Amino acid sequence: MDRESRGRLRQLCKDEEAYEEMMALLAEEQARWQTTPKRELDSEEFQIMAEISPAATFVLHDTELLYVNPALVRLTGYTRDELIEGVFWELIAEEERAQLHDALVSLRHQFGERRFEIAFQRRDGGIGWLDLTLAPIIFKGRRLVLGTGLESTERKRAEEALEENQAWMQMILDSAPIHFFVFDGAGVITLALGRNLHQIGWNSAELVGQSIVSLGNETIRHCAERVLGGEAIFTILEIEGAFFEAYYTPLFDEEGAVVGGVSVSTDVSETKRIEQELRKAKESAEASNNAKSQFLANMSHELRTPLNAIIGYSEMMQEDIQQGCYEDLVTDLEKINASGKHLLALVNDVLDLSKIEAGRMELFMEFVRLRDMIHDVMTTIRPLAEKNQNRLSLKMEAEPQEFLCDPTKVRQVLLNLLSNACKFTQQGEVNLRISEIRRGGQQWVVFSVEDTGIGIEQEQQKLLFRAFSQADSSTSRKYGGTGLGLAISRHFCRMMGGDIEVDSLPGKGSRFTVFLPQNLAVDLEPAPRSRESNASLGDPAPSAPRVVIGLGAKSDHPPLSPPLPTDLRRSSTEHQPLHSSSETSSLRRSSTETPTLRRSSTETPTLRRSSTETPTLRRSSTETPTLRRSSTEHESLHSSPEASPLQRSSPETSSLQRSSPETSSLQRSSPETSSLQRSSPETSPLQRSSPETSPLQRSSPETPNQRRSSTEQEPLQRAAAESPPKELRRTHPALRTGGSSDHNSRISAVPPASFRVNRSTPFPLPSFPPTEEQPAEPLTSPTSSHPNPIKKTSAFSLPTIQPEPTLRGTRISNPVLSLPTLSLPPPSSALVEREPSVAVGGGREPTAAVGAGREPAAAVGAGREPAAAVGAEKTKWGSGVFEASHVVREGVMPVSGATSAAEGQGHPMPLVLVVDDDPAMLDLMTRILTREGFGVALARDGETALEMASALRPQVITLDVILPGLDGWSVLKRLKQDKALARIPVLILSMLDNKSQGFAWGASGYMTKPVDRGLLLQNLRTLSVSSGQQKVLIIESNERLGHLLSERLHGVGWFPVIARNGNEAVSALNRGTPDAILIDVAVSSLDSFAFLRAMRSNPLWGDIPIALIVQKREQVQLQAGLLGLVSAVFDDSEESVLLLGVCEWLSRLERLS
Amino acid sequence: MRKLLLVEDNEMNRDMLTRRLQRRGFVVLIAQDGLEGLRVAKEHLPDLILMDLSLPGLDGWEATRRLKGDPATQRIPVIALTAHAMAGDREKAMEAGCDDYDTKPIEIARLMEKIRRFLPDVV
Repeated sequence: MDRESRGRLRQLCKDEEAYEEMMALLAEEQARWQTTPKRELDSEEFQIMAEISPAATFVLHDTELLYVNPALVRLTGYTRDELIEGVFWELIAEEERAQLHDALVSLRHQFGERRFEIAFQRRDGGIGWLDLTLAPIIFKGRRLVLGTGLESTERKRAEEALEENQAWMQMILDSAPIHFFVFDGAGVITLALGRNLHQIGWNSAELVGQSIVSLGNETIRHCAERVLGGEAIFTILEIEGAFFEAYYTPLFDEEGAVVGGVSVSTDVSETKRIEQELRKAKESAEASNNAKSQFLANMSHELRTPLNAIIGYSEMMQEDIQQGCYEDLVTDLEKINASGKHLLALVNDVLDLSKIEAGRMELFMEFVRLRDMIHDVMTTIRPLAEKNQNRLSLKMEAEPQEFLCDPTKVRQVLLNLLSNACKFTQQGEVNLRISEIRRGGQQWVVFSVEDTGIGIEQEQQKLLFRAFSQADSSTSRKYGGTGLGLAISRHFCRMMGGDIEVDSLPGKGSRFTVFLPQNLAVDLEPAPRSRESNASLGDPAPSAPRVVIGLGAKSDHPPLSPPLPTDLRRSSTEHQPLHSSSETSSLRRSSTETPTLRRSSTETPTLRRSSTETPTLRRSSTETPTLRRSSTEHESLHSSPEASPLQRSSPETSSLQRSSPETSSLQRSSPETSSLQRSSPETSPLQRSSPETSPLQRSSPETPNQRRSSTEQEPLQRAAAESPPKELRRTHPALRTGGSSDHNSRISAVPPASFRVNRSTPFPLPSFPPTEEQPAEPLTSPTSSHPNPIKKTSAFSLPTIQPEPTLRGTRISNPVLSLPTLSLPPPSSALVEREPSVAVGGGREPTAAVGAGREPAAAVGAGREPAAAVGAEKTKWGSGVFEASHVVREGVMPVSGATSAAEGQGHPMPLVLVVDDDPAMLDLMTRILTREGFGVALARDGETALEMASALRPQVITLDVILPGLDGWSVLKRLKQDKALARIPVLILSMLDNKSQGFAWGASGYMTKPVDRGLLLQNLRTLSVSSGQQKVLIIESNERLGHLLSERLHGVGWFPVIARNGNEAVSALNRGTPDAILIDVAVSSLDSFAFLRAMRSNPLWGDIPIALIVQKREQVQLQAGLLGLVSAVFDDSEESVLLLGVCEWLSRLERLS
Repeated sequence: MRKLLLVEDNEMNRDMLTRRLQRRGFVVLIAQDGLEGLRVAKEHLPDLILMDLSLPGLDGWEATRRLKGDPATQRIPVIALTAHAMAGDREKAMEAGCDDYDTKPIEIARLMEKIRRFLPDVV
C-alpha cells in the first residue's frame, strides 16, 4: 500500500484503533494474495494473447465491458464497438444476465472462478452456447474480471436432441402397454420403465436399485436366474391379477459374458380374459353338447327298447298266424300297443322340450272351472294309483274362482306329478291338495301332490327338474317314463307365472307343490279395442271380453312375481295357521320374504331335518328323478295336450247340460250314452245275455278302450239284428219333421222301463228289459245327480218312431247300399257304380273303397260290401258281428243343410267327413268311427273334401293339414267362407302342432297325430252334438231362468250355451262365436255396458245380434247408448212373455239370415 | 338241442326273444342281471350267451369280462344284444370281450345268422 493510500485510510478511520484493525485486515488479505497465482499481466502481452485466442475473451470492470476479442466478435456477429457499447448484455437472456451480474458483484470482493453455461443470441438470430468462466484479475492495480468462453452450441444441441429423444422414448414406453426392467449381473434393477408398472402398483423410481428377488414374484425371480445363466425366456406372468407376456433376454459384454438382463413385458390381461371367456364358452358348449349327445344316446336307447318289443312281437305274431297259432295274439298285441304308446310318450316329451327350448311353446289361457279339471285329472289317474294299491285322495281346501290358466298344461303338470307319486309309492297314500294363498298382491292357487313313496335324495332333488340330466335308463326301465316330465312341468308352471318345488325325505315320501297365479292379469294384453272401452269406463278387468290365446311365452319365462317365500309355501301347504297374528303381520309388513318366518320354516319341517339323519334308501337317489310314467299311463298323459279342444268345449257342454236337462236330452243322447256305456260296460245285460253275439268280446284283447268299444258295439249289433234297418230310415224323417213340440207327446208314450237300454245304445231296443245290476247313472254325467223323469222319457222318444223300410242291408243280407235317400248330384251316384272315390262307411278294403282321391266327385256308398268289413275283422279277431248295421246307419244321412243340423245332433249316428291323404289313417278312422256309431265319409284331397262337404253336410269334418293340392288350411278357409258349410265344426288332425292357427281360422278342435282314440271320439261326439245349429249365448246367473230359456230356445232349434258370469261368457266367446247373445243385465258380475261396448268394438263379434233382459224398473234407466247397441230388450216381469219374445226374436234373426 | 343263455332285464324283450328262440329249437336259459347271468353260465354252461349290456347291478360289459376271465366259461361265445347303437358302442362291447354285437330292435334273421356263425350246426 502506498503512502497516499495509507494517508487516505487514516483519514477514513475514526481513530487509531480502527486504523490498526483495518491495516491488520489488509495485511491478512495481502498474505492471502500472496498464495494465489499472480494474474497481473502487461497489457500489451495480454492484448496479443487475447487477440489470437480462439476462445471468446472479454474484460469487465464491474458490468462494464472494457475489452472484447475477435473470437467473441466472430461468435456473436456484432462488432467490437457494438458489443462494448452495450449490445453484449442484451444478447444474454435476462435470467442468465442476472446470474452473471450476481457473480460479478461477488467477484468484487472474492476470488475464484465462476462457471456458467449461457445461451446468447447471435446477430443472425441463432442461439449460441458458451461455456463461460469468469475470473477476477488485478490489472494495473484495478480489480477486473476476465471472461473466457468456449462455444458449446454443438454439444448443447446434441444434448438437447438426446434429451428430446429420451423424452420421446419415455413417452413411447409410457404409452405402450409394456414395461421393461434392466438388471445387472447381481440381479439389481438398473432401469424400470413402462406404463404397466404403475398399473400393478410398482413405481419405477422405487424399483431401480432393488434386487429383482425383492419383487416377490417367483416367476420373475426364476426367469432372472435363468437369464443370468445366459438363457432367453418367453413366459406368461401373473402380477397382481394382471397377465403379462414377458421376454427375458440376457445382456452380454464384449467378451460374451452375461452382465445382466432385460425383461420386456406386455400386458395381455384383456387377451387372457377373452381367452378365458372363450374357454368357458367352449367348455359350456362342450358340456351342453355332451349332454345332448348323452341325451341322444339315451334317447336312441329308449326308443329302441320299445321298438324292439313292437317289431319283435309283431313279427312273432306274423309267424304265429302263418302257423295257425292264435294263442298269445291278444297279449302280444297288448304289448305292442303298450310299447307304441310308450314310444309316443317319449316322442311327445322330446317335442315338448324342444319346443320349450326353442321358445315356441304357446299358452292358451282361459278361465277354468277347477273342480271339473280336477275331477278329470283324478279320474284319469285313479287306475294308476290302484295299480300299486295306493290310496288316492283329494282335498279341495279352496275352489278358486276365475282361475286363469292354460288348462291343458295344468292338467299335464298335475298328471305328471300324480303319476310320479303313484309310480314311486306302493300301498301308500297319494294326495292332491288344492289351496289358495295371497302373496305380493297376487292370489295364488297351490296344488300340492304328496305321497308316502320312496322319496328323493337331497342331492337328487336339485337335478330333478333338469332336462337331459337324469335320463338314467336303468331307472326308467324299472319305473318307465322318459325322465323329462318334471323338466317340462316346471317350464309349464313358469310360463304361467308360477313355479314348482319339491320337498322329500328318502324312504318317507315326497311333496311337489305347484304355485300358479290365480289370475295372470298382468301378462294378458287385452285386445286393443277392449282396452279402449275399459279406459272409457274405468272398469277393466273381468269382463274384458278377450282372453289372449297363444301368449307365445318364452320357455324361460321367469316367475312373474318373486318366488314365494318358502315359509309361506310351507305354511300354506302344511296348514300352519296363516292367520295367526305374528305371521299375518309379518306377511303384511313386507312383500318379500320375512327372515324370521323363513328361518323358522327351514327349521320346522320335520321332513327336512330328519332327512340328514335318516339313512338313505338305496335306490331312491338315482332312480327317482328319471321316472315319470309307466306304460299304462302314457295314454292318459298323452291325452292331455290333445285334450285341449275338448276341454275347452267341455264347460260349455256341462253348462248346457246343467241348464237344460229336459230339452237337450236329444242332443245329449250321444255324449250321455257314451258316458253311460263307459261307466257300465261290464254290467250290460246285453253282454251277458248274448255272449254268442259278441265273440269279439270273448276272445278279446283289449285295452279298456277296446273293451269299451266292443261293449258299445255289442248292443248295436244286437240292435241291428233285432230291428230291421228299415226302421232306421224311418227314424229320420220323423225327427226331421218333428219339431220340439213333438217331444212331449212322444214322451208320454214311452215306457220308462226301457229307458236305460235305450240310452245305452244308439238304437231303440224296447224289447230289452232293464237290469237291476246296472248302476243308476254314470258319475261322470253332470246331470246324474238329479234324476229327471222328463229327461229320461224324452230320451226315450226314439223307439216310438215307426220304422220305415227304406234302407237295406243287415249283416246277413246283401249289404250293398242304395242311396235313394241321399240327394246327391247325378255324377256322384254314377261314381258309385264305378270305383267310389269316397266311401261312406267301412268297406272291407278301406283303401280300395277310398279309392283315388282324384275321382272328381264324392260318392256316397258305403263300401260295396259293408259286411265284408267285418269279414276282415273276423279273420283277424275271430269275431265278426260288426256289420251292416253300422254301415246302414251311415247311409241315413241328412241331406239338406238346415234340417241336417237338427238331425245331426239328434241322431245317434252323426256323419263325419274324414279328410286325410294317408290310406292307413282313413282305414283306421273308418274302423274306429264305424265301431262307435259314426257315419263316415272319406276324402283324400282338399277339392274332394269341399265337394263332399257341400254334398253331404256332415256333422263334423276331421281335417288333415298336409294334403295333396289344396291343403288343409285352404280347405278350412273355404269351408268357413261358405255360408252353408261354415257351421260344420272342423276338427283338425295333424302331425303339425299349430293350434293357434287352427283356432284362428275357425277350427273347432285340434288334435295332433297320432290321435288318442278315446279323445278323438269324445271330441267328435261333443262337436257333433252342436253341429250346424245356431248357437245362442245366454248370460244369465239366475239358474232357473237360465234353464227355462235354454230349454225353450233349444225347443225352437237353437243351441243354447249358458254363461253364468262375465268370465264364462268370455270363455264361451273364445270357444266359438255364437249367432246371438242374450244378456240378463241383472248378472251382477257383469258390467253389461262395458261388455257390449267391448263386443261391438271387436270385429269378430261386432255383428252378433244381442238382446237384453232387464227388470222393468231398470228399463227406464237404460242409457240410450246401450239401447243403440242391442237389437232387442225384454223385461223379465212375465216369464212367459219373456220366453215368447225371445223366441220371436230368434226366429226373426233366422229369417233375416 | 342247443342251449342259449339270454341275459336281459327288460321283461318284454326277454319274453319275446325267449319265445322266438324257443320256436327255432333252442333251449333258452334266462338271467335277469349280470350276476345271475354269471351264475347260470357257470352252472349250465350254455352253448352261447346273448348278453344285454345295460343291466341292473352287474352290467353286461363287466359280466362278459368276468365270463371271459373264467377258464370255465371263457370259451362260450357271447353276443352282445343292446339298444346302445351309437358310435363306439360296438367297440366298447368288443373290448369287454364280446364275440359279436347286435343292436335292438332285433332282426331275428340277422341274429340267427350271427348265432350260426358260432354254432354252425344250427339250422
